[in-house]
Amino acid sequence: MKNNKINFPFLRFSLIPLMISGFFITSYAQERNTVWIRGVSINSNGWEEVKSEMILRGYDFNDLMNTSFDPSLGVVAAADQVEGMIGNEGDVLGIAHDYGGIVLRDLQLQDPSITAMILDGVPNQGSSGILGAIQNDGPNSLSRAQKLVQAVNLIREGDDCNNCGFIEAFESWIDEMEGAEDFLNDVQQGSPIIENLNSPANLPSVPFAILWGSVDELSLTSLMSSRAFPSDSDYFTECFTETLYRERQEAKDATVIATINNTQGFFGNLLSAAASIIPAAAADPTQVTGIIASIGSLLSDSRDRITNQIQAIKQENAELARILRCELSNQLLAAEWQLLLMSNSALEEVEVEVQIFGDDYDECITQCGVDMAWGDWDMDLTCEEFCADEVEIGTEIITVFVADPNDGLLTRSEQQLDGAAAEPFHLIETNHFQETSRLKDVVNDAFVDLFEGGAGAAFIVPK
Amino acid sequence: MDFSNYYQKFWPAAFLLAIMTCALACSKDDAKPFPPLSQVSGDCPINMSYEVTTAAFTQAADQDEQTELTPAEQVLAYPTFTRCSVDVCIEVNGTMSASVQMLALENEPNYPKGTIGLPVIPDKYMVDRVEINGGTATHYNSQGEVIETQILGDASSIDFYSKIIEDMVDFVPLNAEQMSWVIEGFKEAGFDMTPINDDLEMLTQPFADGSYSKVVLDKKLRVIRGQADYDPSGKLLTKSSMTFTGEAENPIVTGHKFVAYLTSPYSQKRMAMTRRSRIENFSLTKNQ
Repeated sequence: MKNNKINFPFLRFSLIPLMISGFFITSYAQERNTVWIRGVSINSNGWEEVKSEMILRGYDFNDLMNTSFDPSLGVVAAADQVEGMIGNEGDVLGIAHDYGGIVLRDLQLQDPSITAMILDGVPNQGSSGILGAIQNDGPNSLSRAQKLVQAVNLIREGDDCNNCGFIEAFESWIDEMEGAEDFLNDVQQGSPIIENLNSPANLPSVPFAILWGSVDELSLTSLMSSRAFPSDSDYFTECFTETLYRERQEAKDATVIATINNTQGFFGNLLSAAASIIPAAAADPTQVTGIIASIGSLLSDSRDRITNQIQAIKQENAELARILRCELSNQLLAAEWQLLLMSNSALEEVEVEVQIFGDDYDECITQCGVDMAWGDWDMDLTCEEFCADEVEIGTEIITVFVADPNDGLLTRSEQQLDGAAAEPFHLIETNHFQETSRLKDVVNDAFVDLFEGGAGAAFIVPK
Repeated sequence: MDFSNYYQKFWPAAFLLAIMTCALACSKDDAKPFPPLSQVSGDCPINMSYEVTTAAFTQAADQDEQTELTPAEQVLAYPTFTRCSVDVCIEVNGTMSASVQMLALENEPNYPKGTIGLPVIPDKYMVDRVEINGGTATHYNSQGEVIETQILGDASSIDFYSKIIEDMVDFVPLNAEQMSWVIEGFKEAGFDMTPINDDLEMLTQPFADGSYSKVVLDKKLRVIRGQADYDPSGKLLTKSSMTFTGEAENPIVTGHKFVAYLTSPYSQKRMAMTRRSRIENFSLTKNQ
């Protein structure tokens, strides 16, 4: 007993440091509480891939989300639902994509257990794309984005455009967003929820990190591939370009025929045939009528062939026009969608020098005359006036519009939020649906950096 | 945006063979040597080769209406350029072999990343070279990977090529007076002929469905200059034209222009989709 008493102070003093160090060891060694809040399924492929990848890399976390939240409740009620899942747990790292990020931000304001947030591809400033997809634009109860698709379908109508179903996929996406208007309107640009969360009093009070995606050149086929086939390669782009090349090749073959025919075949052949019945010697004026009649007879006999030749070129032109219309419809849809995304973001104007090539004066006059003969001249200029400024080769400065970098749904500025714990992580060449993909190294790298404490201890997830 | 000055200058010129292949291809940093094809040689009955630079853009058909287009329609007017080398051989049996190689483009516009309105094809799917051999067209990307293989050689094409070869006849000169007799002969045969100027004559060909085409014949060079196609109401649907230099014995193609029209469902304005090309080093050889 004595010894015990004697030893007690020793034990007490020796155990305290051990207990203290044990506490810290325990706190770092224990799994980190997390909530992985996905975006709405319309706009997000969910977190399973990245979670699996991080587990594979040895990170030890406990996802408190035992089930997905119900976005149809709206942001505020969905935040309450997630809060219920967290229960009495503490020191929770919230990780969210898309709509889920707004839910997380709302949750953080009411639940002190959220100690840090990773906001990945989140419409922190509200989304113009979502606004354009869901808000009725005029009396016909269609949204602006739905009208874009409708217009593109009008161009494609009757043209049998084989786009491998990607326009339909885009249309379906827009329609699904429109159908989810009741809750997606919480994250549209200018929504009361967004305005409230961005008021100075309601900005995040815990460390947070921003991950934002962008693609240098937005391809709707790639965007839709990432949505429809998240684990696959770029199906729509691959299929679409193969179709495009196939159709172009066929048109090209037809053009080879036409070019050679125009240059050396059809007309030259007719003239040579006609020449063969014209006397070599200068014709007596009295013979001319007979010569013309003979040529006329020859050409009359060739009527079917001449007609068929012209009709064949006409059909080739029509096919080429069909291909161009199909291509244009896709190009126009992409341009309209990009401009819709830019409704509330910066659109930079940049001057670009482009090469121009025209004709020399004589050729210009000839072409002008042909266009006039075809009834395709709408300028208030004579050919001479028009061709006076013609240059064979030159340059011209044009002004182009450059989009704010975006991920196909959200622009850079829409994904930003001032006050982040570190410089925003830029997910380069990552579209909106790839922001939760383990196939994107840049996504995995960002999470590893955060979990290792690169943006501060608040984000650490132990191994 | 005001593109009117640019497009007024951009007006006539232009060709189509490689335009369709070239149009989606990226321009290259370095021109690559043209791959030798055993089938493409001077022994072909018809051997055609050239280099083509093509501009593609879409704008209001009436240039005064360009600013009345929607912003997205207006940005389609940014021209995109491609340049490639083409070598075509038509065999005696009517089959075609060809090689199309993308070339570096001089003075390529330096569009910033994110420029709205440009067609977007990922590099992996950009055509760098096309080879047509034995009835198969193979598209390669810049890494030499096959993007697309396509079986060609439909019977009608082969028949068409064969007929072209049959049509190749020795050049017989015609003086201006004799040419005028030929034009009168066309009229005598019931064709609708309209003079455009001293060198050009227009043939209007109606079709059973009420549509019609207007074909421009060059009496001096003895070539077809172009063709415009109209629907039964007289609305112009497409037009294609070629420019030439040289003499009648050996006309040299220097350009091609193709325009197709559509009415935009956005602005309801009539728009012109244009592909215009400048042809260099054109050679068409008959070895018969």
